[in-house]
Amino acid sequence: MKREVVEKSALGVLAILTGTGVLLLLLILGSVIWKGGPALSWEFLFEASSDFGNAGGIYYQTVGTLLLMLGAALISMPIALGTALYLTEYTQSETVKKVLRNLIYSLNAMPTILFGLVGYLFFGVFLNTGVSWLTGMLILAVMILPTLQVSIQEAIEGIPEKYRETGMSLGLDHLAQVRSVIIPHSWHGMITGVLLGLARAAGETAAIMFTATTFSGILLPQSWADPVPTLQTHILVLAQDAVNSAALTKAWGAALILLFIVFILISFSFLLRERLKMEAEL
Amino acid sequence: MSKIKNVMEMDNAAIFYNGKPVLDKVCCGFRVNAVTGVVGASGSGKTTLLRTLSRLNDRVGGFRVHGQVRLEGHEIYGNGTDVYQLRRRVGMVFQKPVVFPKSIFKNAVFGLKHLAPEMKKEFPQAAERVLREVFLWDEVKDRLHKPAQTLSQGQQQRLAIARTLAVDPEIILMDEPTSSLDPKSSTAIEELIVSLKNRHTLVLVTHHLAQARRVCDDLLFLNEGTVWEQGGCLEMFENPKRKETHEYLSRWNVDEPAV
Repeated sequence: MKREVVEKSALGVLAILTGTGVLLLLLILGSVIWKGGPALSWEFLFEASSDFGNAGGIYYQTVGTLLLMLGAALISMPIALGTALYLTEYTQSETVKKVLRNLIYSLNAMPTILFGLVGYLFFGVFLNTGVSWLTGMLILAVMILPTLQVSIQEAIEGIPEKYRETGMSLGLDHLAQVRSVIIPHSWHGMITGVLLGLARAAGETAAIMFTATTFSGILLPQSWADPVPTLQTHILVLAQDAVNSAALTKAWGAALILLFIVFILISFSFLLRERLKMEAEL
Repeated sequence: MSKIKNVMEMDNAAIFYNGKPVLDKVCCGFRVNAVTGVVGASGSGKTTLLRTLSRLNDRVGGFRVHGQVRLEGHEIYGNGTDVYQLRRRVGMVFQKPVVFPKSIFKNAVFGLKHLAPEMKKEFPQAAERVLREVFLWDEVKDRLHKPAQTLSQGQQQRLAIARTLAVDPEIILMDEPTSSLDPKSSTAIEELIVSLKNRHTLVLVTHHLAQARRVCDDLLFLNEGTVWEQGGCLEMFENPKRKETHEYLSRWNVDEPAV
């Protein structure tokens, strides 16, 4: 009887905790939709902003954000894949594996402002890339690298040993093994990692605020060296400095679009992961 | 045992995993174009012996080989051995059928695609040849581009053998290839093994003593990590030299699944 009461109480506490989490999430989502919804219109989505964000839309900020994310993904993907392959297929030493793995997890937990600071000093100042699209892409690439690398590595480690051994038994060398056995069976990890990494990067402001983007007066970058407009900076500046309610509504509208991009990325990552994983394991 | 030369030999070989011996003082040979059965209780080292012959244990941490393992007189664990070439020459068929999540055709030419990409135009003929060789062609010729996973377990195992044959190994190692198959599929594989020895040397690990008796020319009895007896198959069944061999092999017609 006593045990039953304890179990029911524990279940009740868990339900309250879960409910609180879900409620908080719904409150945030609800308020963004409630406050940002009125800003949404065809013009808002496809027009350039004007009058320091008080008028116009967020077209260039949306495209700029996507450009920054795409660049970051293209830079970090080969590095993450290479690191994951090195750790899983080429390194025999358990110590090297452990050290690199710890390093990658530490990188994942690093405050993003540090990425911005170190990234700016290294890329922007030392490599002289300045406040630019390139600096932003490089910093975000380093930032999403751990997420991507861990995801790919887990997918590679999850490949059934039977496939590896069959490849080996046919005389496939390392490169052929990677090309025909490892990569086709770990696609799902790569896709998931990229999308989850991008979802993280999409919400990132601190790392790119002083390194890649400026608030006004810019359209799309014409070269790697130009700054790029982003939704994150747009929201931050409007939320801090806007004095009229129309500008604040536009900030909420931009937040809603950013949330929508993140939602799409995460939904796609789960959908693709399940689908590709099923195909790889068939 | 006949005096025909051994294509592969182990000479006083010892295998260790993390310093622990799994096989010790192994001396044995595998005759060319013969089927050598490897029998023994579970844990006696049969699979380790087989994997040692094609260096499939190289990735296993703490794996070490002492003594000599030779292919046509050349030490395979020596410096300068092309391990990829060795594995192509000494193919392996695993206990459970392994097919890649690709079409039947792509599975059949999987190894060829990497080892002889310049022969791409001849892949269809190569696929047909090996699928005929494993008696699978008539069953799959109309669905070559369908997923290999749609085949039955027995068909998948024959496809796995076809994929191994496509890279033209001289020796084929088989690790209990019928253990996960129904009796009908097992019979098909047994017939295939017998037909393959015309062109290949086969080493078959099996727990089915009746199967060993039916298909093997030579037999190797492993016990407690060492070779206790090796000789002609029927001779060992009928007239074993050691008491332990007699005790183990005398059960050949007990609990044998109906075929």
